[in-house]
Amino acid sequence: MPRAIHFVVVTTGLALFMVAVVWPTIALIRGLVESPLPSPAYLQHIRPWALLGRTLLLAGGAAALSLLFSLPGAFAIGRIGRVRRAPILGVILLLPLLCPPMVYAFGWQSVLDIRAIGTEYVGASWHCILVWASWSWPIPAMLIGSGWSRKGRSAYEAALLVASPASAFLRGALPVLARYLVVAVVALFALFAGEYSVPHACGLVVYATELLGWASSSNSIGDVVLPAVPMVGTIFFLLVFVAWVGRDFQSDRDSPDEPGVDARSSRGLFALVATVTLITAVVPIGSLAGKMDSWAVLGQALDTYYVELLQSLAVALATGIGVVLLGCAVVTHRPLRVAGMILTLLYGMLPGALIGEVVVLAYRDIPIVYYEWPLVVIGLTARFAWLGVMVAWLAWSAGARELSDQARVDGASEPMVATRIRLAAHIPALAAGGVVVAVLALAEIATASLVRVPSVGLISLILIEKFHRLEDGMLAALSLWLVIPALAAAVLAGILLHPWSLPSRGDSTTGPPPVSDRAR
Amino acid sequence: MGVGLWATGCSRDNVVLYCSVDEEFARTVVTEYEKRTGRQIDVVFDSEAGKTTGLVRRIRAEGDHPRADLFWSSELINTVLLARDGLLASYTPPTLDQIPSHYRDAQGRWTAVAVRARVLAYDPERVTADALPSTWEELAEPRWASQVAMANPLFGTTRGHVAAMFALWGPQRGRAFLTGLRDHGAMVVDGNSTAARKVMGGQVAMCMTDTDDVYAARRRGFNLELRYLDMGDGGTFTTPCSVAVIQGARHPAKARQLYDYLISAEVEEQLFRSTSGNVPVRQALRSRLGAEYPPTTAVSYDAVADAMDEAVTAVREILIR
Repeated sequence: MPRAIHFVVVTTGLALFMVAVVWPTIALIRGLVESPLPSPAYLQHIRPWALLGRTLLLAGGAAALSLLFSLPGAFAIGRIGRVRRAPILGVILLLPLLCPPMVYAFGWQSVLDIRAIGTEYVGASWHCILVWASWSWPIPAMLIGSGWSRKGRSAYEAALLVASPASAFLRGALPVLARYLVVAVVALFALFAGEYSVPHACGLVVYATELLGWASSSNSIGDVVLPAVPMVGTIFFLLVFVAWVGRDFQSDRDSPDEPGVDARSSRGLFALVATVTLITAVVPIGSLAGKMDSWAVLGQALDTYYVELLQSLAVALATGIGVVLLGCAVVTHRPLRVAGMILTLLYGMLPGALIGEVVVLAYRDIPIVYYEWPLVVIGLTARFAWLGVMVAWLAWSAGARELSDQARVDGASEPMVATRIRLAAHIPALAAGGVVVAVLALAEIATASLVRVPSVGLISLILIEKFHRLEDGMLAALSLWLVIPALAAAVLAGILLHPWSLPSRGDSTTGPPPVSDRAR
Repeated sequence: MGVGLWATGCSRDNVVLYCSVDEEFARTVVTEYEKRTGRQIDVVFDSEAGKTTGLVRRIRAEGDHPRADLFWSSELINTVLLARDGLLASYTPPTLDQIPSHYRDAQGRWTAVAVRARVLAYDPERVTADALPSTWEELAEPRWASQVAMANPLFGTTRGHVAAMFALWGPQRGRAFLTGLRDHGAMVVDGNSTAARKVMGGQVAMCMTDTDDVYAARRRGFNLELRYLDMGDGGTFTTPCSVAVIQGARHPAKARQLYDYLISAEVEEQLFRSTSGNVPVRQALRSRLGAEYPPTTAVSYDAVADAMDEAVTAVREILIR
């Protein structure tokens, strides 16, 4: 049975890789060959480079703020040791991540007085940075916290002898966890730099807007690809850097079985993390209710758009699962690994509208795909495949080398080692990656605009349509309906993380019973 | 479940309509057509965020393997460009003589109906009508440019409007206009509705936008007034919706029947009465409905399409910060 599951997982992942990445890439190359040569004159002006610089600054600012928000959560995960010991902490951490970023954009718009924050551009920029950071901070929290379980505990405990817990964390543990910090910040930076939906909702012009402008005004794929090269190149090298930094996480071993502190003794820390969630997630989402004229609008929204909500959730979940399978298949397949990762990262950095267009080019002659929901899933999988590859790579890099070597000696094949040992230990992380992709797919606009089909209504496009038509009440109501599955997913995650959901055999994920700080 | 959905998906016999007209309104029209004719229409919508480009690029990508039969667009310039690239088929509908010549293609490749106008929307509590510019060109002067917001001219109706300026004024005056807007502090935002929001939020006193965005703001209770500024020849720039049959459509006969319906006086009246308030191009219908027809520039849409590349290049060089 496990072999069969392994076979299905890998085969599906490879098939998705061919369908969502390789085949559209061939269509892209064909399109480029058939297009006239683009003129490089545009890139000889200062303005696009200035716009690129401002966009990267925006992304960097959001990544930095996200890191700042994440520190209490990272500290909490690190001290407790395993999130399973504190499932409520897991729920508090997951909740911001499960709501689509666009929801935060609309929410913060109600809360912030943009005029009060410097110039118009500065105000809109802070709006965008806050939205990105509000949504994404659990990612660095979990990355840094997981790094703590490998490396940093000793430094922290040594520093604890002469400093407070917070100071020991900031000055003792964090410097040791520098690699995890770098991975977290750079990965977020890459995610934000190529994004269009949130800046658009904040009324901001970014480089992705410029690329959409090229898509609007030119018939030639080359005219869109050439301006995209500086952005694609920058983000690609950043991601290669992330992959290089994260290549050897598994070598970090520092008391992996050391029990964490008792969750009950960390109430102050929990309260701090809950406060961060309150400020970053509950405030903007809660303020959406104020945009509705009455609660009856919620009922109207559901009545009118329940089909599109369900369809969008289904497509998003399929995309999240597909992307993770694709990433695992590429990373675990040794002959394909390097080339597959490079291709997926490069392809994923293209503008969303261009990705959508090449998917259309690739499948226009295949009616069974072209007019049906697979086109949407393929388009969104193509858009986010790079995330699946990155998550799978980081999980694979953190896998148990000694155990893998032992398994090989015992006759296990390489794919079996990769999937059943190196990746299997990180199923929660892979699942979390899939969830993040599903949430992003739910809010995707640029690619989704190109791959629409008659039978599937996409809620992201309806949301942005309401935004542009100034129908703020309906916009708020639909956004709140997107929060409900997020809440349900967070509660489900909490239930799954709860100790009574664990198997009854001795389980290495829980380790020895926790002890409180006072007992140390 | 997915396979089930797949199996019950679109029939290959249905007319496929690519539509960038407001989805809520378009669904009503299409549903009515389906009821009357007993035919099902498969509709692929575009979104405001895609600025109509999504469907236009899709039509181009499909090329000589079209999947759509009909294109119903919320604007005209992209339709003109598609026609020039041989992607639209010629068709002469029976009611064409009701449509002024300005709103139909000489070769029958598209028909335009239901216009909305480019206007200067303003907050009457911050600026009075007599303090407003009279022409679009004056807007670039320091006393007004610093108080105005405009949508990104790389997209949508603003792109067409700027191209019309270049077509009428020539490239030199067009570039001077953009330079003036930039140098005197005009705010460039990502969309007409965002520009209207800036006025509603008090960040600026006025904005360049379309009539339907003003109506949307009024429905929200904001007191937004509008003025038709002169392009320099006595009228403002207007943007009609357009309908066209795709070249190589798989269901041309059915597509033409839907075409006839979409350009009909009945649908024009529905568009007028809808939230967008588009004005009919039919004189008799306007009179019956009491619709105010904005003074319109004489620049042809073909001339606007001719000036598009130059205008977009200038916008990229001068205006986009």
